[in-house]
Amino acid sequence: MMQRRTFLQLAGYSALYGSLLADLGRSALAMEPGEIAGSDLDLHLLRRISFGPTPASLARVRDLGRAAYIEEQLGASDLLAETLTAALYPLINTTGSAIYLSTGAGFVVNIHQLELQSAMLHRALLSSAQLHEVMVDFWNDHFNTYIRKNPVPMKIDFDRNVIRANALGNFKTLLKASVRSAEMLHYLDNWLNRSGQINENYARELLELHTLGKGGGYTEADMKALSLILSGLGFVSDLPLSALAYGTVQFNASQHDGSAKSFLGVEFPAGGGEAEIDRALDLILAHPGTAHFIATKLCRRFVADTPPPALVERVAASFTATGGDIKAMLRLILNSAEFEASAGAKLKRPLEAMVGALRACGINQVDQIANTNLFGIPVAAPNGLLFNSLVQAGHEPFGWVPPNGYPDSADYWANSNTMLYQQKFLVGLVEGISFGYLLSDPVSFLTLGNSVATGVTRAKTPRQAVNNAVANLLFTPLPEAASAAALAFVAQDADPDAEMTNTELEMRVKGLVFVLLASPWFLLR
Amino acid sequence: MLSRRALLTLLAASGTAACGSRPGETTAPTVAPQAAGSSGATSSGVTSTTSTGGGTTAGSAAGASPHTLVVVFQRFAADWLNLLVPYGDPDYAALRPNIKVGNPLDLDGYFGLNPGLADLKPLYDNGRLGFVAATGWVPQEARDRSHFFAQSIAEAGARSGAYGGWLARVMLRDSHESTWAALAAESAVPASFQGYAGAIAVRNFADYQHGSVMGDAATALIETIAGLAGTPGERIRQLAEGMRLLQASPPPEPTVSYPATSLGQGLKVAAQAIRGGLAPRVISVSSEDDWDTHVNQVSRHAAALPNFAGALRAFHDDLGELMDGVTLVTMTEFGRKAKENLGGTDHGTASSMLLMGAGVLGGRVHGQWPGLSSSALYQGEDLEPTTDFRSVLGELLAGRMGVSSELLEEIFPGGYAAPANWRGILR
Repeated sequence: MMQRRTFLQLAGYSALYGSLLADLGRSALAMEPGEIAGSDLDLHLLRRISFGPTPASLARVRDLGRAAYIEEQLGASDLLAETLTAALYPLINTTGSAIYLSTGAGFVVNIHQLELQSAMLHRALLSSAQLHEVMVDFWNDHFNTYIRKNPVPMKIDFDRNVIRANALGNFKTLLKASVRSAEMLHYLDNWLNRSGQINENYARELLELHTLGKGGGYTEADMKALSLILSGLGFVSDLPLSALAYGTVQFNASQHDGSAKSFLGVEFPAGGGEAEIDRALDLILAHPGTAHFIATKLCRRFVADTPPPALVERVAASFTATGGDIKAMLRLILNSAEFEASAGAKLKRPLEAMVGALRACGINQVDQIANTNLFGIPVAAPNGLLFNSLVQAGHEPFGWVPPNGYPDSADYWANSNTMLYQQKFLVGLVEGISFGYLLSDPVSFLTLGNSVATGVTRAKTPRQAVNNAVANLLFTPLPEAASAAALAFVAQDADPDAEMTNTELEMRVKGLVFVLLASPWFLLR
Repeated sequence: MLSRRALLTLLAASGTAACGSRPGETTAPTVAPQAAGSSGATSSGVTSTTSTGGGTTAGSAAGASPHTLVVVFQRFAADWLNLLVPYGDPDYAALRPNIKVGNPLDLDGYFGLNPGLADLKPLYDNGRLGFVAATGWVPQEARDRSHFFAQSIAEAGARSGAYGGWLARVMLRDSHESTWAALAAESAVPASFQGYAGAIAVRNFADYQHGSVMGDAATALIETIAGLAGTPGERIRQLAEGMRLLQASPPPEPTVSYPATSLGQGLKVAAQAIRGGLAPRVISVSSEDDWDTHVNQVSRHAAALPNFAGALRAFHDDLGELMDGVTLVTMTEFGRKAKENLGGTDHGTASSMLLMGAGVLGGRVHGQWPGLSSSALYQGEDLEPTTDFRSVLGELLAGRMGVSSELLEEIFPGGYAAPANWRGILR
């Protein structure tokens, strides 16, 4: 009903405003993504290696220069953010048997998963080691497991010991850690892969999704050989041992196929036992197909949906030369000419769009309370605005069921449904109350309004509102036609430089901030 | 929406691409080993229908009101051997000692329905629902057991050399006026629509407003600013346009309840669009009913199948007489292994397809059953595809959507959808 009245109040000028918009619409610019992203390379870097630029991160990269900033990020850790995360979500540090026991072997309702999801969002939002968090997200997609497949949420252990520990380390270590993790062995059914009852699920996806890639130089026969090699590799899952050591990876020789195998052109004599596994993994890791596939995926994440082939080749060569050093590959990508030329070539996925909006709006822990409508529970917590919106937009943390991980291209994400739930999130965010604004500037809070949107703009006139919103949210100017449309929206038929009443201005500023964060100028990266 | 002219331009461009760039598929189509000359009464006793022309059905669709094709994709490879159970095949029980369906609902004395699909039995009995058994890629070089690759080529409708997805190629050649003509009733626009810029994804009509206090004025500003951005803003502009249209005439609420699954939700949206007069031509829906059953298949099917069948049945009942103008078809990227592993099934080759609608020649199992004996199995382990899925889709497009045979060849290059390969699945 409130909205209804708003419409009626707006009706008086909407005819005039509508014709103005129509005029602007006719002068379509038909811009290229690179033009929308602009020529600020510092900004471009931050859009790619963080969950969204903030005034502080932009100042830091301007101060250090891009190359030094990249080095800083490659070595960064944020102890404060980690301490805070662990304090807020203590269950993320539980280990195998503790997870097993505290979840009643998975038979009682547990909040472990929700704490892990919350911690992920919390770190993405607040950690200053942003590139590390971006890489954690990347590898969690690459080695995707679905958080709810195993009712005993070993994802907690996997995220901590496999992914986070190796996110900026070495791919070989990372791969081998993933193979010897209860989470992966359960997710891809290898714990039920037994001699005589061979289950091909893990062998196929290990080759196709984790290492060589489809067409990367293996055959169906190689896949079948690998499924035999992996047979018998499982983890402690049954009482009584599970109470002490649930999730401990173990090789059961009696369930291992003891026959001779041929894998990637190499003969494995009969009776090779557990040693066959590392031998096979080493063959996979030394294969040029693996270097090429990992290089392709990194370039897709950081450069463009269709990665430049020459860059992929150089990154693959770096993989081979360094034995899979992740930092070396990232250093090469982020300092490359191809990277510099790619501004605007990627679309933010919902996680980057929503967390990026929170970061742009300067939302901190205090504000998160206001936006959840759940007093005392931070916004990143499940049931909060961010978490629910990500679920609706199809990007719940660790929520992708199939093993290929969330898609990493605009082909998938540029659709009306994803955009819709992003917009609903933005409305909830910018129209909600900003406690951070209240605390930082109580006078303006009282005189200008109390929403996140007014906190971002802090304006008294329409022109100030548009200028401040563009500067604070986009960090880059809008084309004249677009800012004229925005100004017309806020000023309507009034003088754009005349002061407006709080009520009028606040309502329109809410719409303005929402529209800017829903525009290509915010969503391209 | 694309302008009419843009559509025509794209149509022309893609037509050229489709005809000019398929060197890999220039060989004559492999005619399925169905022995078209022999009668349908095979030794297995399966109803085997061969093409009966189909020209009459194509003609009758031309003047009728616009038809809607609903395509359900069963993501991650449904084990059709345990859905449409070949209990009359002596090898079936032997291959699946632990997971076989022991008490199927008999369909024709050879095939039976998994009891979890009991909701579909009445539709089969009254002739509005049927199956095509042993479907997949007839050309061997296109068979693949990777979920992701197999989904991508199934949605492309070609192993190589065709422009975009097969539904995109349909839409680029279709004349329609509605903004909602190409509707993805799911979370994202699937690859089958890739290459057609007008496809809209809707998971829930009830959510389809941004909800800002600035209401329509904010929508208009979004539309203007996104329009200024050109192509990068197209999806955002399209969403704003959709919000305007739905606010003017919101679609009706469903008349039945749907299972709370991706398929149930998608078919609910599909029925709302049809009943609300949004005039969709093609609707894609994603079935994510836990199909990737490498382990624990029996209990997982027991949970999933009633939801799968219940969603299809709800859609049928919700539409009522409007179902006369709708045809639904299901597909999946491949079938699963004939032999079970430890309580589940790994990736295989042929699957089956389900057809529903008033124009479908239901109440029977179409196609040719290749058998499950070790010599009949593809590479000794998988059900052999005897009907190319594109012949089923092609027959539907021609018979129900009014697509000419020339256009069929552009949509499915290589002759696989040509009338000679049709199975006579329509009334």
